[in-house]
Amino acid sequence: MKRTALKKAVGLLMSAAMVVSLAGCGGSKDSGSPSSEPAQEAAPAQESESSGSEADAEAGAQADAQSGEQVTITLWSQFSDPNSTDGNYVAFYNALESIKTDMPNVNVVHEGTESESYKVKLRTAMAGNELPDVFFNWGAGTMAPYVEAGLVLPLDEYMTDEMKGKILGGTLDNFTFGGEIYGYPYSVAVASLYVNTELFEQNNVKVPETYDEFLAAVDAFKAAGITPISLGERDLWPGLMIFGIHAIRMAGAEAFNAALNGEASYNTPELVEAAKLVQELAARGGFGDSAMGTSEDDAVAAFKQGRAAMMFMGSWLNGDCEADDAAVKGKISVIKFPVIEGGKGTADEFHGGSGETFLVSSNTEYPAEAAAVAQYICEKMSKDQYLAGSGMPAWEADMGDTSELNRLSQEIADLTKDATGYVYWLDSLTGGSAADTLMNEIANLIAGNETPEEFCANLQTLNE
Amino acid sequence: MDKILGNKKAYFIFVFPAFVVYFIMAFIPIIISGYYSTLEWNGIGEKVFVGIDNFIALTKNNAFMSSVKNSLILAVASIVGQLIPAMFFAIVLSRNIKGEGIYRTVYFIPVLLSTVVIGQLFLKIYNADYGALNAFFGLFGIKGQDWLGNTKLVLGAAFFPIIWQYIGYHMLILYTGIKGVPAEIYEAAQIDGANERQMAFRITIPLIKSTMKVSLTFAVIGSLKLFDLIWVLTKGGPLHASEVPSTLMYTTIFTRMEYGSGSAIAVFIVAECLLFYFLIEKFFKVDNITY
Repeated sequence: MKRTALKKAVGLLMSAAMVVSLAGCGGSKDSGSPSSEPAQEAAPAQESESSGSEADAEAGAQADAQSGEQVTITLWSQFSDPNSTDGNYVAFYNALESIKTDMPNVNVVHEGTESESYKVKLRTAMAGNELPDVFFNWGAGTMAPYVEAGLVLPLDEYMTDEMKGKILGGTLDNFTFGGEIYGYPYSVAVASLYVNTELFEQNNVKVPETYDEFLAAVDAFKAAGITPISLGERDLWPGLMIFGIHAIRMAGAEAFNAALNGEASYNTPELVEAAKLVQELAARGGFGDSAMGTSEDDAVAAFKQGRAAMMFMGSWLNGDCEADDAAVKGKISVIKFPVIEGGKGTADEFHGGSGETFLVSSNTEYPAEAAAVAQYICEKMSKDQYLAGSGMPAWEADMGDTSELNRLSQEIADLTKDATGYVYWLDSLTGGSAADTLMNEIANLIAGNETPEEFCANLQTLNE
Repeated sequence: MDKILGNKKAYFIFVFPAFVVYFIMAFIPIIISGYYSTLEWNGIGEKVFVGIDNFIALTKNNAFMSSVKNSLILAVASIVGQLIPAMFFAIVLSRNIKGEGIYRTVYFIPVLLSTVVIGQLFLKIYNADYGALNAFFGLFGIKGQDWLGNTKLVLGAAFFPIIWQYIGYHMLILYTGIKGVPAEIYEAAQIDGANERQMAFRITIPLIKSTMKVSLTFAVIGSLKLFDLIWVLTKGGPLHASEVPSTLMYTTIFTRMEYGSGSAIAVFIVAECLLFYFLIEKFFKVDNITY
């Protein structure tokens, strides 16, 4: 009798063992990269635990040599690959190199982790109170829980008037909570409509200036068997950008921001109309036949190879379009997304903004040095990432010779010089479950599973 | 030997260290997950105790319900699609055919490949623009499909490589079981004039029931807790059409930052797997056969 009881117990243990591997390893099995961060998608998904290892070793030796006043600052980022050609990566590793000579009393030890793993790693470190002194993070809704939990240090007292003068207006908004600034900006990424001028010419289509011309272009390319707009909706966040710009054009940046921040309703005629336009655009084949199954990587590849006529994307696409292996090199032009008739938005309101930064842990031993490192990296990256063709700079600086600058970056700089309003990427702005809900609602909208009215009503549940 | 087996202390000394490691690595996380499942928590902020609210919310969550349905469909599909071909191959291979070793290896190769590799392979096969599958249909003038982007097709498309991959695995388990059946039994049957089909159904299958139960358990439990291939192929999309509980658990915790709700899904998966384990135990009674 006793034996059967024992057998049963062992049986229970063994059966649980089969089940357990899931509970134990579920979190670490991430093999894809479900990025909800547009800016990082282009980055190679390569994980290297301590990528600046050469630099680190050097810096370490330096610290040993002149010990005493030396301060070691740990730094985590999602810039995992020192050899990447992505503008942000190039700029970050430049800064990491030059900080050694510019701030000799600080020994920065960097650890880079690929974007998706980085988010999980950061959450784990926060739960275990093991945050590094300085770490990369996204702003607004992504960062709000950290501020609420008191994990990050306000930087106001380390900001000099000189710095305040150099930081461009509006770029601190996504890092400011309750009037206090928690991070410095390093780039302004802007989405615009990328058009393949060669395809437009070959098919006798006019590059659109109005929304009607835009729809006419969509129909013309569809008839010609060319994907009108390349969209990687499998990754969900690209759909956010399409809805985002329609909402900006229909409701205006200010009203849309108010709805996103919970200060106004999503149930407005303008937002319903914006949703309707997105749904109609999808229904008339604006995104080709297979947007729902296409990843962002594939969507970018299709555009790079000249298989799609347009793409609405952030300025990180500049590098891809002008890359030597791109079939469309030199044939791409960027334009403002057309104004929608009857909408309250103007052509000078943009989707995008400044939303990536380096935060300082509130548990750091050396707050002043950590803040100085964060400032140094942000200011240096602002210039270098601009010169590398990634986004607009967030700090005033002497840019020197810009003749080598990515052509599209210059065009975007021209487009945005009179910008009157920005709406930041919807997923970073809202963060967490709200971002996930937005992404899934927009996928439902594009797939035609719900009416624009239902869509807006469902979004409104986020504000209640 | 009897002396050692009769000694309770010896049992304890040999089992205890392994048990401690096992307990810490396996059971404590489950217990902690159980605790988290009663919280409303974003992972770093304040924890609010909500009792079984997370579980009640799950029953009203359409994505969760369809994920459970999908995993049950997969369990049935695995039984039919894996165990039947695996049994057929195992029986054929065990009959001392020419090239037995080569076939055994070839069928086992998919099991050895990394799931991510298989996932990437099938992503390319299914691709709507340049995929091999659409190119194949194109040869006959059939219009291609967006296999992983169409909510009606995605489930079948995603399940196919999952089932295909593990046929070799179950084949090997069953093959080993068949090889354990003494040759004399087959010789006696042949002398009595039994043909191959009769030997398979009257001798082999009845005698390897306990091995079949192992295969069945692995197939069912493996389907219920599947994560990797679905994640690589579709991430549960589009619109949750290929969602299974563990992919939903992952996005709930790491995208939505709802640790409580995600842990509730984890607890559900554990409970569901245990339930099916016991159901198989109950309805698949096997007598211990000694030759």
